[in-house]
Amino acid sequence: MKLKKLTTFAVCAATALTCTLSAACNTGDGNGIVNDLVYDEYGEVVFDNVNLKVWSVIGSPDNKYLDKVNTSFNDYYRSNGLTATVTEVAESAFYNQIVQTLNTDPKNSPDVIIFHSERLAKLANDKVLLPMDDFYAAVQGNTFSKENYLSEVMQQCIYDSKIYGVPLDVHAGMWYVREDILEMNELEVPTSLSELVEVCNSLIDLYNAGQLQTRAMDKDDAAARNWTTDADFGDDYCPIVMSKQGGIETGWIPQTAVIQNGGAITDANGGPAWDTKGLTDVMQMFRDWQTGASTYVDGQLKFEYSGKFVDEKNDYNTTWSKLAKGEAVFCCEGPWWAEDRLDEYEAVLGSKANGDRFNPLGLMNMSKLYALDEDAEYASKVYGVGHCFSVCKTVTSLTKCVGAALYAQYMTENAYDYFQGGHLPANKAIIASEKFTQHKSGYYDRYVKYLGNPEDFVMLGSTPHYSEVYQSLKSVYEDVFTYNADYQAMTIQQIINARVSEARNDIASKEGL
Amino acid sequence: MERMTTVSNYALKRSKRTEFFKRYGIVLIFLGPYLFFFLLFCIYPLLYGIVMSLMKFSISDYSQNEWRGLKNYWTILTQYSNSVYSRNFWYSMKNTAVFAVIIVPLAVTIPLIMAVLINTKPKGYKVFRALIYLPSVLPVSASGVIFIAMFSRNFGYINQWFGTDIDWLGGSSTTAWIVILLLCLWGGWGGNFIILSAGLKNVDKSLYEAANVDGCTGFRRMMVVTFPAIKQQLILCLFTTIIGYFGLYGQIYVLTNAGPSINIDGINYNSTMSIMWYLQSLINGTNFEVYGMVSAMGLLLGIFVGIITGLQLWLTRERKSGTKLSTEFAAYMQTGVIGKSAALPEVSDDKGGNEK
Amino acid sequence: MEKKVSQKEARAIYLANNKRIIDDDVDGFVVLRNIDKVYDNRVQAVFDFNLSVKKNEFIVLVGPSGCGKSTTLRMIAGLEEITSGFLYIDSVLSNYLESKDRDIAMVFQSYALYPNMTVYDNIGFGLKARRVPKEEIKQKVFEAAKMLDLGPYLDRKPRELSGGQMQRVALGRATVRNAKLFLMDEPLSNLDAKLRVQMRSEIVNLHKRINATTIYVTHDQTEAMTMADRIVIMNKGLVQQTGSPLEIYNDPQNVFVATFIGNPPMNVFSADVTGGKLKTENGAVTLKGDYHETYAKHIARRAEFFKDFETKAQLIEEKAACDLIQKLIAELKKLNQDELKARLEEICAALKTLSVQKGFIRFGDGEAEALMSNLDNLDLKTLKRDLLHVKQEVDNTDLQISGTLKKFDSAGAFVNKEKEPVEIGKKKKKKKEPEVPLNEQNLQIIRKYLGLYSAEGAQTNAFIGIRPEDIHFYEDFKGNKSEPVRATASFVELLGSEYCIYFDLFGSRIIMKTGLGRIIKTGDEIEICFNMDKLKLFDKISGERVI
Repeated sequence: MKLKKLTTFAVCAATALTCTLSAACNTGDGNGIVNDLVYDEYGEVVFDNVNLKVWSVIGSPDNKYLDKVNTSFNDYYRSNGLTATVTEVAESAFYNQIVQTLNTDPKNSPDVIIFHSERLAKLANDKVLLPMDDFYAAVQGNTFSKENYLSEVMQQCIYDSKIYGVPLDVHAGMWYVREDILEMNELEVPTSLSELVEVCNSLIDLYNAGQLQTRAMDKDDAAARNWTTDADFGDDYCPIVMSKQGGIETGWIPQTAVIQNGGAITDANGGPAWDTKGLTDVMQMFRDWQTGASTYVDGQLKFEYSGKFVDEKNDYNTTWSKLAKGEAVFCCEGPWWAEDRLDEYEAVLGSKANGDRFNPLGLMNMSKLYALDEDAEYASKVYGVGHCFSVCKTVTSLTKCVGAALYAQYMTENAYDYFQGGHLPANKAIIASEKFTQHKSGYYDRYVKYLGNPEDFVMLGSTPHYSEVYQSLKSVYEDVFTYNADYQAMTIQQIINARVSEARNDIASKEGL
Repeated sequence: MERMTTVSNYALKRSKRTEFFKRYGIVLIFLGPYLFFFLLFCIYPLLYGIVMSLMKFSISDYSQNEWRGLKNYWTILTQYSNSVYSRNFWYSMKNTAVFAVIIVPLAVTIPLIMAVLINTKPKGYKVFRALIYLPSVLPVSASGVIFIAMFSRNFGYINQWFGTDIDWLGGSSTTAWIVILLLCLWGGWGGNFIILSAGLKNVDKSLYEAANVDGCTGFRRMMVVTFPAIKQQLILCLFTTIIGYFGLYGQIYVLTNAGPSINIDGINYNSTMSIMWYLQSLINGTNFEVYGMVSAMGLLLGIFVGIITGLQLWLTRERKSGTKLSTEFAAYMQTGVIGKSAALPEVSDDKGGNEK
Repeated sequence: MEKKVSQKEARAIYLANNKRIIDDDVDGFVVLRNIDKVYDNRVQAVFDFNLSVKKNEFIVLVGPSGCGKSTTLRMIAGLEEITSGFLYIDSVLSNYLESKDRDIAMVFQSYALYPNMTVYDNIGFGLKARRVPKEEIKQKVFEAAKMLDLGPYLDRKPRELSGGQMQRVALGRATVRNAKLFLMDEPLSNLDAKLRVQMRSEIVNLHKRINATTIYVTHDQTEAMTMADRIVIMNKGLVQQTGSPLEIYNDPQNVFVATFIGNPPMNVFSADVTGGKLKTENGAVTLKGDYHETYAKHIARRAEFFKDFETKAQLIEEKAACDLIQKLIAELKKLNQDELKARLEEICAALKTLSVQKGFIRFGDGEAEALMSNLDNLDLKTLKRDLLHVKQEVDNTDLQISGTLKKFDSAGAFVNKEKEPVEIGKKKKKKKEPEVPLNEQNLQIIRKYLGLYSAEGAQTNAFIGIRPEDIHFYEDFKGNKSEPVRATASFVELLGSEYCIYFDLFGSRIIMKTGLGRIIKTGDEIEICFNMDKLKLFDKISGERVI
């Protein structure tokens, strides 16, 4: 018995010791970089077969375009001894995996990561990333400067006044529009909130009068592709698809609503600042769109509706199918689908370029789409998210760090092929260049230009409390659209208050740990 | 000065030592690898977790790790109004406990009834036996997808067959819990059914016949003869079912992912959240500083389940026989009268004493 | 005999009597008439069991394993279904009465005590099930505990008791209800020898005290002899003999009974009885005057019986006729009047061949003519019913013959001990033999017996039976003794107060039981004689006792 007790005690003690030791010690911090720079006779850095391991969060379908750019980087720098290999990691596992690998398995951790720039503040705060200013300084004659990038987008990559990332792109959700139905019924693609309301009212009136011309995008059924006024979509025609529970629009629409009415998402402390009056009004409007009741702002009638704009039975499974059937005219999805969808619709229904009467699918960005005051200077702003390149703390060789910095610079300055995936460049030079607007695949004219003016994009703001601030705003949108009777009984203000205090409580609890 | 000993004593001591290895050597060889992995993957993480729960532990930035003592536990247990962790912990514990209280009787009674029915060996009972166990063979993800297909609002079979328009999984927490309960029951009754069925088979047939002859038949016989005979199996089922449902996670994750939001007193909760789901959501989330708190919560859960199990074991312990009746009988033999009013004879110094 | 009434009247009487039939004509408390038990796989366990148990009698059913005694007991208890026959308990027809309504108490071989209840609850369970008030239960249980000395164990659970104590609890449970009928299924077989002896006497005392009718099943003949008022010996599902222990011991009706009862068993051997003498190499034993004649007469009687039987069975062999009737029954639906008339001649001819013996199947010439002349009024349904009836009688006769034959088989169980030699090494592939129809099987057996009996007539070998204690030393015995015979003791067992001496005589091993008058060792030459009053003669073929 004594032996047993002794052994147990020994095991416990050993474990406790190891735990505390491993917990207390750090595994490498930024100060551990070894200066092994070697310059050649031209003053350029010598890379001795440096291969950069890159983890990228960009998945299908736009990862193929990123690979093109990466290949061109390899072609360019291979003679210098610098190459990069990109591995995709799914977004749901990305951030967790990064942190785990960096801390427990440094040998297999990546050198460069391509990720969403709104997470940068947290990663930098946790000392996962390395500041890159010095790396660029080490390369003589390097033209890198943060002025080369859109200011809003670059600001997102700066933390504690240091540059922790180089932005690649910016994008927002897009509205996909059945342009052919609008044109056939002599309506135009709206460019602002009031125009959107007008167009929807007209659609509903036409439907109720039995005169709405629709056709389905159905590659199997030729009869459905013909124009008809007899299509039966139930009692109500709901032209806008806004889905509950998990539609991707929760990540863009409420945020844009906040910004277009003069608010900001985060405050100076990193906490939520989106509980603005503008948000309340816009959410109330969304609720009215579900019931058909008129919208009042500040006690005054703002909009009247001919019927319900949004069908309460939508969810994200029905987004594309409703649009295809002609049962709805507007739906919101990610811009990376633009190319595929355009190909699909044009293949089935034709396009103006092929001599048809209509373009079946049009694109609309969210500029001015939720602004209650369309003349305000912020009315055209759009909430955007973007990707950026950063260097991980596990890189200990300064040469490799410089190589990574050069990689980030090259990729962001030469990513013309990448934007075919449906993004806007963050680099000002690219925006102005013809290689972008006249790209041989024609993506700019086809859909990228509809993404909006890159200068209009506003981002989350630098905060280490990304999930609390962002997630709770998404939940506000879900609460407004949910089937749940509890939420349908609450007022918008109550919903917003509940969610914002939830965010603040979460932050406070986290800081109090 | 060397210690002196006889040769035979030395031989005894030495052979005692080798005897130990001879006897237990084979045990060590077989048990060794398992013991090693058990220590490595169960005991070590447990102890590490205990240490973690006493710290603020961040997995992304180890420099933030600090000793906190029992603060995490104090936060969970006392700071209900201040800490979102405490609120969610107790809410999900309440959900889990209520769910367990509701489902455990069902999850034991329904298989029991099925086992009793199959025990009467009707025609085709072998087919039924297989059908009852079949759902347990399916992984939760597969059966979860089936249930989603059945209970979805727009395309689900239930809504189509019955013409209803209920959003089972997203409309209200009650309907979501009902669907989770059905999935758990359906997927779980196979295991308990097998245990109880095996127990029923081992009941001596002559017990039933004796009960028949004594005049106790049908349902009453089931209560008096059958159920006490399978008491051990029932206890086992209860035991494992309770522990199992406190760790409820897979079904919730697949069906509702903690389901529709619910607003109680102005605070939002995930209405079908169970404690394991909450812990998992914290672990898989992007807040990397909460691991100390999560460990503390996990340990509290373990302690709580341990208390419940201990309580259950204590309640179902084998009770030793008393002596009430034999003393009464002794009194009866002495006095010829039955009843508590019959005074027990006093112990006197007389020899022989009262009538026998 | 019960009076025959129409269906409707029978139904009325049945319902009027609340579904209980009381037949006061039955003699005895428990009466079994023609009880048969056939299992689902057509194995018959009990054949034609007849028994009449008087009130307060102690009946023991005894026999080797698998003889059907437990099955019979369970049928009386209601735990097995009675395939055919009548069971009356206290004048009430109880075939389908539920066990709990038969007012019986049963003690099982495995005691069947409820493991989760205390001894007190076990004993009182039957009363509790009948909703007797608690005080009464306590009174009765305490009385039973007093009687069986279970007082200190009342709080214990069965797993804390020893075998004997469990046995007493089972007895207590049975007695406490004051049931009219006690059934015991080998209750002592799980106890050790000493305890068994003790419990035997306790059970008998109990019986005397309670005075309930008891039916006791055992395979131990000692228990049967010591406890029973009457013994029923069974073998292979058939009753061999019923009688008091003394009757069975002194007057066994066949070889099986003779060798089953008695320890050591009766010596049964084959011997040449020419000239009325048992000849051995060392002497001759003169038999009573007419041994040989009686024996010969018996053989002749048996031969005649089997010849008769053969004829009876052969009638059934008119398979063609049977098949025709079968076919006709099937086709009757399709025939109309004219076709029926045409076939009727065939039918009549077939029935006639079956009915050579009047009384066997009642269809003679007269009936055939009546049928033919009455064609216009012929009712298909009645005809079909009659034909079915005929077929059923034929089948029944088959079964009856088969049953009688089995009786012969069972009695000779200890006689025909020849087994087929086991082939070591090669395993024969068992071909599935085509099922031989019953009447052909019967005929085979009948012919075999006929052959044996006919051959026997010419022979002079008989089966002689003598109990070991009826063989004495020639000098010591003073009764009706035979001539002396010399023998060599091949093996001697000392049983404390007696000797068992084994020697070879008449070509088989004979056992002799005698007192300790003289010291005998293995190899000693002894002179023995038989007690001629106790010599028995058995039929070698069927095992029946002749003299």
